[in-house]
Amino acid sequence: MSTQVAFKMQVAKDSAGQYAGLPESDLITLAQQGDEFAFEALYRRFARTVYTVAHHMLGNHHDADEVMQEAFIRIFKNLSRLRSPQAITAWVYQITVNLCMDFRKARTRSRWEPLEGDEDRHSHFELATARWVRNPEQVLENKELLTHITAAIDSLPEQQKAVILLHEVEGVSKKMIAEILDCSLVTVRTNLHHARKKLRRKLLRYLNA
Amino acid sequence: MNEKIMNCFEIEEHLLDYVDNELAGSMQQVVAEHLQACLSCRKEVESYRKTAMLLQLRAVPEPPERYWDESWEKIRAGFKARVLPLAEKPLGVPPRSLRLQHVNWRPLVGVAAMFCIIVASALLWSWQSRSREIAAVAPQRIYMNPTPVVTVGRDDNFSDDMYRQMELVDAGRAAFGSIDPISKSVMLVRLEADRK
Repeated sequence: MSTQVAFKMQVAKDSAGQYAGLPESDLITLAQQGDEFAFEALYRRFARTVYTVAHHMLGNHHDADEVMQEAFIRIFKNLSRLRSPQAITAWVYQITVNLCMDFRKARTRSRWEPLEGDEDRHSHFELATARWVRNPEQVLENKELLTHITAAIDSLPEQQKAVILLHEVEGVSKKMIAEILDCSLVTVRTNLHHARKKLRRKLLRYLNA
Repeated sequence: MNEKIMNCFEIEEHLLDYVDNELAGSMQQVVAEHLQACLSCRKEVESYRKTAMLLQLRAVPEPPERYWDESWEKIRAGFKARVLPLAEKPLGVPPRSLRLQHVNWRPLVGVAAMFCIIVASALLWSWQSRSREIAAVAPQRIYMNPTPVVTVGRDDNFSDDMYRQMELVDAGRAAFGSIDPISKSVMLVRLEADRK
């Protein structure tokens, strides 16, 4: 590696480090002016949120990765239209959720199945429970439980699914969910209530265990 | 027993809001007191809470750190390829051509089509109403003028010349709709005078 390239990389790292401490409003302004480091800092700030939501909604890494890349390209492409920097979190969620919904619709239409099958869908559950489950039989039971949870979530209509995952898993407020899904607060509450009741009915066996 | 069932029905309406701590203070208290006394409602609240916990079990695995760097490079490349070179062209004020690309033309075309339809309808309506006005006025003007009765069959009182003139009138009517009744009357009066 030449000295010049190493120097450039060091400058980039230092700049990225400096940008990481800036407030979102400043990052947005800089990114709107075309500052590449500001784009990267915004990516680092929201990447995990976007990836997590996409993973929850789509159930596997490859789809979540694809949606995340597309989401960030759209976010950066349309950043100049963002009027209020305070709205960026809701806006990022909105783009991600809409992309996930479109992705699932396209997948349903083309009847495409993930090549990796159930392996990837369930691997994260093992990771999540590995900390507190050591018994192999219990791991198997938990796999079965995860299959049922995933099936129950997948059976929900898209909007109910988005509402319950954002609220129960991501901890997003109902007001923000209304902004994200561009609907009224009453609709969010109704969807949440229906989704909870449906899930409770489907998972009753495990709830009473 | 009935009172308890009614209470449970009423309380059930508020259980989900109770789980979210979104009830007004007094109502939250009422539900809490009811839950202390009612096992079935308490179980229901627990089931909602457990459902939420089950959903949270679907934890997303944290990808390795290098994933975020690789992903950023892909996004950067995709953005450069599809939109603009980063940092070379500022995004603050996009060029005119790019701004026009962002315009959603579909509603504008719809509005323009609607406008054209409305204007065409208005023109058609005004033309028809004008025709009706003329048609309404025309008989009055006919009756105000002395118009001779034109017989349908051949009349010996009329010369061939007169018939030719009348055929001309009919031809004019066929070509231009209704002929001006005043002109028609004048023409017929002149024909009558010639005959005499």
